[in-house]
Amino acid sequence: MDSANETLAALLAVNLDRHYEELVSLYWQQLSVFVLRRTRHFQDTEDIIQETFMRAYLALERYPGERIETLKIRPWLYKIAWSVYCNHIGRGKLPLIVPLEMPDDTPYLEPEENARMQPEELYEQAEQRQELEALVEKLPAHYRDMVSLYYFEELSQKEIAEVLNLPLGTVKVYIHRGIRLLRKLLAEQSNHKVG
Amino acid sequence: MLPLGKQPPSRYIQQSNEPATQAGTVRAPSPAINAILGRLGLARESDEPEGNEAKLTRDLTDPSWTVRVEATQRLGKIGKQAPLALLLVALSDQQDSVRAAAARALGRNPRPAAISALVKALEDAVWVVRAEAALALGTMEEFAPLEPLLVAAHDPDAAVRAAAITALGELGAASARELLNAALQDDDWSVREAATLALANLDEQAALPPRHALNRHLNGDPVQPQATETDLPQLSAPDSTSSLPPSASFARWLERIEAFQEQLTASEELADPADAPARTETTSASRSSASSKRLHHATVLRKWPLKLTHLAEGLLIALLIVGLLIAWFVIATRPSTPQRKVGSGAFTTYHGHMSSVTKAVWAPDGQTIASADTRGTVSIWQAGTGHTLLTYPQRGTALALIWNSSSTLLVAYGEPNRSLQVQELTIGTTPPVQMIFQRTNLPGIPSVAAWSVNQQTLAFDTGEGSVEVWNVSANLNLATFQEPHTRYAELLWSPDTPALAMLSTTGQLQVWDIYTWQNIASLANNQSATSAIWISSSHDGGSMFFVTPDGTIMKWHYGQGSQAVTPFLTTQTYNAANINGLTLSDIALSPDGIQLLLATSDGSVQARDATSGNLIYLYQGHSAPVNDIEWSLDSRHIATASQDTTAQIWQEP
Repeated sequence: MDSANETLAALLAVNLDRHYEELVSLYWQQLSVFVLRRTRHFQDTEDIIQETFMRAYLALERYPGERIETLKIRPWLYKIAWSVYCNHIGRGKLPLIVPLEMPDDTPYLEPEENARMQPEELYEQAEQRQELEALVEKLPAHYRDMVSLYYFEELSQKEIAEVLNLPLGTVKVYIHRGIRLLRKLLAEQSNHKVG
Repeated sequence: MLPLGKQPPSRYIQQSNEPATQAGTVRAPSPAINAILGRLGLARESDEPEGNEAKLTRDLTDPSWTVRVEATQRLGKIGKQAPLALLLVALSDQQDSVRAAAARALGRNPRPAAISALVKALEDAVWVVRAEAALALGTMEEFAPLEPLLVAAHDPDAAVRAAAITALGELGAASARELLNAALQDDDWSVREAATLALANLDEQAALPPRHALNRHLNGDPVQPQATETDLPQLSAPDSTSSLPPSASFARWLERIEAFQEQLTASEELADPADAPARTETTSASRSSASSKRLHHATVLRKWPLKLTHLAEGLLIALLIVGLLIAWFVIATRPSTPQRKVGSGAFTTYHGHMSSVTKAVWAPDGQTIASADTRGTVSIWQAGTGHTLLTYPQRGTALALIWNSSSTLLVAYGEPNRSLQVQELTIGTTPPVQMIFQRTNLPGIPSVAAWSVNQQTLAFDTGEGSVEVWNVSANLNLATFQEPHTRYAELLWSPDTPALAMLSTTGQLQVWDIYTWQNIASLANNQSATSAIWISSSHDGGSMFFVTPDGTIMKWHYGQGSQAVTPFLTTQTYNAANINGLTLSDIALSPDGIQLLLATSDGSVQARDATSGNLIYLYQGHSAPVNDIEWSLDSRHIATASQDTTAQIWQEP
């Protein structure tokens, strides 16, 4: 947990009302972007973000002080936002489509830091961030969400598993396959340009 | 290059003119923050003085809701000295942000006088207000009523469910443990999380010293006579029963008295007159080595065997008298007369529900039961075996159930989106459920509904003053009764005529003809009812039993322009044991009109003669209050739906 998170969490534990504005101020933009990528609708995004922060406040009101102090605020907010978003679009749970019975410790599912650099490379190659975003958008929904959370929102695989309420192994599989698909899409696009 | 995640799309960043305060971190624009804090009823905190009462009163009536929110928040900061009346005004403000702020302020300065207003706020149309009200009730300690929170724990909104569950955990409501366990399976993670924390809270409180834990339980149980229980002889250390629901706790109290009595009896048996002298001698002899005085006493006893015998007899008689007095006390304070028949064994106990069972309805063939619980789940099961035939989970509230054949059930649901739906559940078809009727965009959330005996006509309240009557198969509106600002506690169809009795939450009882739209009768203004049932009706008049706010059961006859109200059963009669706070949770008349069943808040059901009111028997198969009693058509069997999450089938013992 980074020190900024720790500081804010400690302040919230002491006086929620006084410091809640700080939490909204810090995370509003990130969450808005995250939601807007999915809804592509400003009004819907605003509604979802407002509700996210309202639910977050109510939850903090319920939590004991120790719970707030140890809270990883950012992934926790993403988890709430994801839940509100899913309710908003009428999707209760992330659909599970691909086989997921892969053990968490499968070697090739450990892209971690090296793999995190790959989209940066893709970014370099794609030149435009919008282009990369457009490519990610072409991924099937279950890959798109994972890849987006992992690379754009910079959540760890464990945090994504927590946000989406999925097993860690499932998250690793989705990210791995999502990246593979992304590479393929990029290659196809490059070939098309060359052609 | 900045990390990808810290670069919002250019489109969206153009919406915000706020500068980035840190590398890669863009702060939220003020309007966005204001909107969120505003909806939460959170004013920016300032160091200004709270202001005097006159100013706060003025501010609370200010046209701007932001001013009212701020005033409410200031009231909250004043603490318990804040005028309660002002907070209650804020709690009924037209702006939901103000209501939310008021509920929060009341929770941070808990005062029992606010409880009823907070309970009402649990029904607010806005989820934030309901959630804040639930949290506030959780701070009321021993004064908080559990039942509204148990209901709120099934709210359609996850934040409200989580808040109610947290409140139950804060209150140490051990009787809610089952509900909390069920909430661990909730669809929403925040509710599961709240349930985990609440259960941990309960475990912590269970680990408190026994006396403390017992007091907490008693404090949460207004029915329980606290002083009596704590003054009981401590025959054994309080055990896990301190977490039992009220009726079970009371039963345990009686058991302890009985155990005490048994100990006395045992001591009496030891004092058998036949060997009294010998035992006295032995006892005296054994003690003789300890004291010369006692040795002397023993010697005297040996010298005076006749006196010793008399002494032993006297002691024995005294013990017997004490024992008889205690036995009389136990019998007199039991909630039933022991000479009456007492039953507790059900033919069938259905365990398929995860929450309080609200309704149980017999199918026409008498073989199948449909039951509904507070989570909206409807189960159809065999009365003889308890085998589940169909389960239909629904988020709305199952308001009324009726069978229109032995395999088809109609369920009217009140939906939180201000609609009413009728679903048809059929055993053995695919799909087993289809919606056959719907009313949307109602002014409020329907809270009561009733099916007429023709199985096609449904009466329901629209949540805001009116009652609509529809033939659901023809989708035909038969009548709409408008009574502004009225909420209804019950709607009751006459079994014989097209008359509908409407009981408002303020106690008004009126009977209407749904075809002529004429008021047939109204209970006099000096009378008030909390629940009612039909006895009979005809075109000339009718009669009903109704329960007054003080618990008396009255009989109401009306007809030919006149009416009469006569007391039928007083509280003292059905509460002969004088159990503190005993109330009626339901009453039901047998189809043959011979027996009247009374469900009392200790979980018992009393069967009484419907003419004389005399007690016939007592049924004690449930461990929590019975919500609904339904007779089979032949008046031989009874189905009861209880807060103990079971439904039971039983008959007269």
